[in-house]
Amino acid sequence: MLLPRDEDGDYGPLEHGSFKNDDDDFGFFDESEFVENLSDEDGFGFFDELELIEEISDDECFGFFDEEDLVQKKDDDDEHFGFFNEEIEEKKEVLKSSVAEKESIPKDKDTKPKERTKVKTDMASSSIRVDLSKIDALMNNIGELVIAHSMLTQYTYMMQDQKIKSDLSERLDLIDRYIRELQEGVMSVRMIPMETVFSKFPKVIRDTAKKLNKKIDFRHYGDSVEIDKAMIEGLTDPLTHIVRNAMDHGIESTERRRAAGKNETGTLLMSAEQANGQMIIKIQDDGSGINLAKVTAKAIQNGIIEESTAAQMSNEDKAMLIFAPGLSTAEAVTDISGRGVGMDVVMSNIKKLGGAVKVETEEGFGSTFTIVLPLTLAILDGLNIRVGKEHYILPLSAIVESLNPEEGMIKQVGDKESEILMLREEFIPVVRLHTVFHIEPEYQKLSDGILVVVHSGTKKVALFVDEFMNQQQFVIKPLDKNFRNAHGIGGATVRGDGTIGLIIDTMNIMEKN
Amino acid sequence: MAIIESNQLLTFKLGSETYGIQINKVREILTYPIVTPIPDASRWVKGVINLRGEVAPIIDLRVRFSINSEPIYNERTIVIAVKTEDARMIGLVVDEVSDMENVDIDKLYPAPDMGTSIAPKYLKGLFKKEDKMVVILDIDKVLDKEEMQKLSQVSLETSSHVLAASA
Repeated sequence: MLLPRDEDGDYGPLEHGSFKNDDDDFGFFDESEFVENLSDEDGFGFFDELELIEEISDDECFGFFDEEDLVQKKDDDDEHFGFFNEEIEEKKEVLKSSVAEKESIPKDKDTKPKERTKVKTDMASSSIRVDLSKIDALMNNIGELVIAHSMLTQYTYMMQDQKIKSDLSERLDLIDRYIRELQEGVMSVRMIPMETVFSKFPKVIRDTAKKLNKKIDFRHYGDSVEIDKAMIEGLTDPLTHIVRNAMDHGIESTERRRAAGKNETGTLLMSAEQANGQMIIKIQDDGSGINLAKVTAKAIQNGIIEESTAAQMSNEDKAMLIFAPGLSTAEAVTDISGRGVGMDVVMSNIKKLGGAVKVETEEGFGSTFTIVLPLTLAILDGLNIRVGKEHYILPLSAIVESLNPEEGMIKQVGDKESEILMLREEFIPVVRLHTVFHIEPEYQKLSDGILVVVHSGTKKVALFVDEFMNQQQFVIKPLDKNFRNAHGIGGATVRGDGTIGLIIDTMNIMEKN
Repeated sequence: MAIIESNQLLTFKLGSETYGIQINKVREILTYPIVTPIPDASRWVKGVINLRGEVAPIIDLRVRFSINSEPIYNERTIVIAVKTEDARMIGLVVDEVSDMENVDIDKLYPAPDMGTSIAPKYLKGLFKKEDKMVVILDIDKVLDKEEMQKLSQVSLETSSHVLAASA
């Protein structure tokens, strides 16, 4: 660019030389300073400046390029200028700062990433990488501390001297608070923002979109929501699978989208939020949705369900069929999806994390996958229940409601071994925990005990127990580290008295029955 | 990888016989704690306990090797906590802990094919102490992960078969 915009024709041809000749009059147009400030190539320094001046004067034309005019213009713009000499000084300042601004604008794109890297290196210097096992070891130590504390608390109950007893209890409460803070602190070390998970997707989506020749706009929300590090490893694969599926089967090709009157670019939303002590991750697309008729037909064909059952199924249940093993409605097998392996693996992976997947779909408008996960794999809020002489722990998050059933609410089906609870409009299968766990119960009649309705995956199950006990927080420990997993048991925990409590796995409790 | 095997043994009694395990496998000796039973486990798996913050199973060797099928558990029952090669913590119920012995692990008598209540594949060998034989257990074989998983399930099936047959 040689001259600033010429459209108005008012700019005289301005040559480098002539401009320089006027140098003396300019005064504040101190060449050396300007050239330094404005440009790397000293010769063209003033062109930048011209452009700048043009901007300052709001693109108004001025016939001659001299400072008076300029200042005049500037005067018009802001009327604080009293004397010319002062003006010059001020003008210099204004110009300089404007120049600085001006310069910084085109450079913006370059400087931003630099700043970011700088921030990153700063952060790196104040953070360290720690092996997860070390944090687990810390967690174990806290667990031991909790037990030692509760032992001491139990001991105070037996004390005779009331004064010492209350003094001691007071201090024990203090320790209890510190332990809780410590526990929360260690827990928060395990938590990392969802951004780590989301950041992997733009590339995957770009590549897949390219392969499929589709236009996809990917957006994610809830980057700062924190999730247990241990959970992320198990979560990435299922999420990737759902995303790929949504892109391959969900979002239509640009032509089809245009024909359907939709925006050519499909949208894929991913969000994370925490609610009711659970982590909720949603993957939403605005594609064609799941063809329920096709899925149902395929499921019948593959013998996954009976035709008669299909007729009674709700749309929600039908959509859930995509998680059945060996089901794919894709006409062609591609390298992206369609082999019929996958969605069942997604389901089992999520289950392994103690979570559940749900899918809602509307034909023509897209589908939403909702993954519900416990906030952490390390701590759980549980309810103590009693069956016979044994105590178990039910995850609080799984419990829907509990009731003392009347005989009329129970229907026996088939061989009289399966019982169904009729609760309002629902039919919920009853699982007698004492049968599953081979123990002698206190009550045999359902109406004597309590039925706890729990979520089992996306279904509901009514567990028959003898009694409810207290509610408590538990540190989850794996059972299979030293032994093996047991049916219906999801994990173990150390109770206040130092014994082991078993946590019921509501997801898989039905399987044997 | 050459592992220098410990030549110190911890000897204990199962019924009237004396057995030994290498001391480097032993982590702790404790009295029989409150054990939480595992619902679908076989009879020789008594349940799980909290062992240094870990959930460790308790296995009664007397029941496992049919030395005593109806043992009594009280505050004098002894549990030896061992750590296997693959770092699993397991508690073993024994009748009594006897002594420490120094033996040259290379100079053991090979385990006989018969005459012991424990199958030879679980044994490292024998050694003689004042005219008495001490059988050295190969704890990693006894507590082999796959075998334990298989056995605890098989025995559960057979016990339910027996129940079904008798009913």
